[in-house]
Amino acid sequence: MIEDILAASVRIGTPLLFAALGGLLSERAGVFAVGLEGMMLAGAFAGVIATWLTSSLGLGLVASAAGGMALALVVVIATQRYGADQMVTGLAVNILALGLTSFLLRGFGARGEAPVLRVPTLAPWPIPWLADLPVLGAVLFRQPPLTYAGIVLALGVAVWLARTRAGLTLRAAGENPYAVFAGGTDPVRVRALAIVACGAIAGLGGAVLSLQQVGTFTDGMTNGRGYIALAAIIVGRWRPMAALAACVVFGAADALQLRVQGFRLPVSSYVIQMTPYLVALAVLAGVGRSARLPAAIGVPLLRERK
Amino acid sequence: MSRRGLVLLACLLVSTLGDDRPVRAQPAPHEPTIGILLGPSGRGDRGFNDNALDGLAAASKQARVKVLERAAPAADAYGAAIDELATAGADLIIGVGFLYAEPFRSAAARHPARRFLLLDAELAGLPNVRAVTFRADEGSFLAGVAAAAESKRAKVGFVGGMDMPIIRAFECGYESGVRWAARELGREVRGYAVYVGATPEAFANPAMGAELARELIVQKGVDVLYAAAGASGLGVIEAARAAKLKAIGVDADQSLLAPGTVVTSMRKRLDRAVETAVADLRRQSFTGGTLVMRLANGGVDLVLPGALAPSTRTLLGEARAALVAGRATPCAKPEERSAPKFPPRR
Repeated sequence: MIEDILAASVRIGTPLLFAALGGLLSERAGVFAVGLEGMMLAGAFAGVIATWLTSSLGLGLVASAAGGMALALVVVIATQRYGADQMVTGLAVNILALGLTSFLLRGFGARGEAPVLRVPTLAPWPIPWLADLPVLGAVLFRQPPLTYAGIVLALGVAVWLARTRAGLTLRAAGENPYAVFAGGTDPVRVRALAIVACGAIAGLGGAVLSLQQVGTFTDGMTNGRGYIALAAIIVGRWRPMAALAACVVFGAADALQLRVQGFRLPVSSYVIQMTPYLVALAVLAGVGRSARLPAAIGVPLLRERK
Repeated sequence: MSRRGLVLLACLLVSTLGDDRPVRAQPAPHEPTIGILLGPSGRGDRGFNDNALDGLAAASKQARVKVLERAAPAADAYGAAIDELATAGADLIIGVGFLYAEPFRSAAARHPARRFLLLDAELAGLPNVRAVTFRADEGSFLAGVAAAAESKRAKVGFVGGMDMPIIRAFECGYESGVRWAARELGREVRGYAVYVGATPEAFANPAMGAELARELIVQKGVDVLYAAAGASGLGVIEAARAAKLKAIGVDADQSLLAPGTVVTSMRKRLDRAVETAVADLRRQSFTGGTLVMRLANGGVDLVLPGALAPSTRTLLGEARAALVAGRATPCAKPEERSAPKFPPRR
């Protein structure tokens, strides 16, 4: 039972984890990642289309990353080139992605219909030896490939941010971009690269949904997960491993809510289904007090043009 | 634009264009013009809207009709969309889904010479409006019979989209069917029901649908799943496919989505309601009022034969006969329909 709930938490948390890691890079570099929802959706869509056209899941994953990046480029151009407001741009990108993917999907159907493009899904890869461990085996080592990739990525991002020069530069762009400039690096470029990386990773988060969990694309299938990922970043205080933990907690809240339904409690299902969000609110209220945003987040940087 | 602005604009449009076309009274025109207002999921949803459009296609095969098709308007522009169709000369205006109930109520009085067909919602007391409802509980009863008969582990599941009375009717009918079949087969069959969410987004969350289905499969040992969850149902079908189990589709024949997994599908026959209405219009025998489409008049059914075992098909035949003869009752009372009481009591 416990083992099942934990395994489900990891599964439900995986798409959140990718989005949160991408968003974390963007926010540490000083750009609010409100567009995560749209980037995920674009990734989910591009992944299904590419897999359907080429019957290769590998190419599908590449396309997912590219789809998220394409949307990230819109954010880069709007916020870094033209100094548009980061929040508004992010929201605009989310709405754009919802409309555009729904529209393009209909391009693949006859008479403007939205087809169900069935593609194979990434099957679980049990890791020999480790998969046979009690509890941990089921929770961590009998998962599909993108789940492993997400955990490795979280570790990688954590080390990269803390221990490398490039990671330091990225963090500096979010704390004190003028210091980056003084150090001989263009902070606008750092931010642009961070946003693009965010798009690629969030796009893979979309692929977790469409290529790992469902095997098709449907309109708006991210269903607000990009926003939950934003909350996970804050709960994790902009640190990758803490964000990972937050994603698993949010996953667990959902997994529990699904199981509680089975107990036939004399409580309205509406109350039960709102519990994950109450948990999120409570955690945010608790953590929010001590959370510290990157100092220069949201501050637009514009090069002087001659 | 503000809501007020839109209303003003709508009024303006109506007043300038007017509805002063000479109204043909009783005698229906030679080539009737049919206006159809689609539901939000639009053309190509392989469910509701396509179903209704199929009915129009079938009707136009019998004799020529002129079709004016309109996508769902913005929430505050339903009245204006209806007026536009009336002005364009539609003899019959079809509204796909319950969203058109209130707009039809007021529009029917504004356009007394037009006929209205409201699909899947109730609206009584208007002479020129025919409101058609479908007994999803009867169709789901058959789905329950099929599930109970096909289940090897004698455990079946139901995944609903948004938790609301319309979907509860699916669950309740399914549950009754499972119980009926269990009695006929002389074995105990357990059922489990879960819902994706409490908002309309619950119909568009396939990943959560898959997770719920996996939960039922792994935790409860369910081996046949019935989903009434819109696009979220695609996730349920995928989970059943991955576990090499069986699923029952809904709204349209969903067997192509996962051949071998989706053994049959339950359909509300909106197409039949549309076809009948157009035929009535042509014969000048279109009447208002409420019409309940059920098993007995072909309003709901299972896609047959499907990939069902011969014994299941026989049992389904018996179930169908029992339902039509009134020997079996799926959720007869509305309050019973909305009462959550899964798993079956002993």
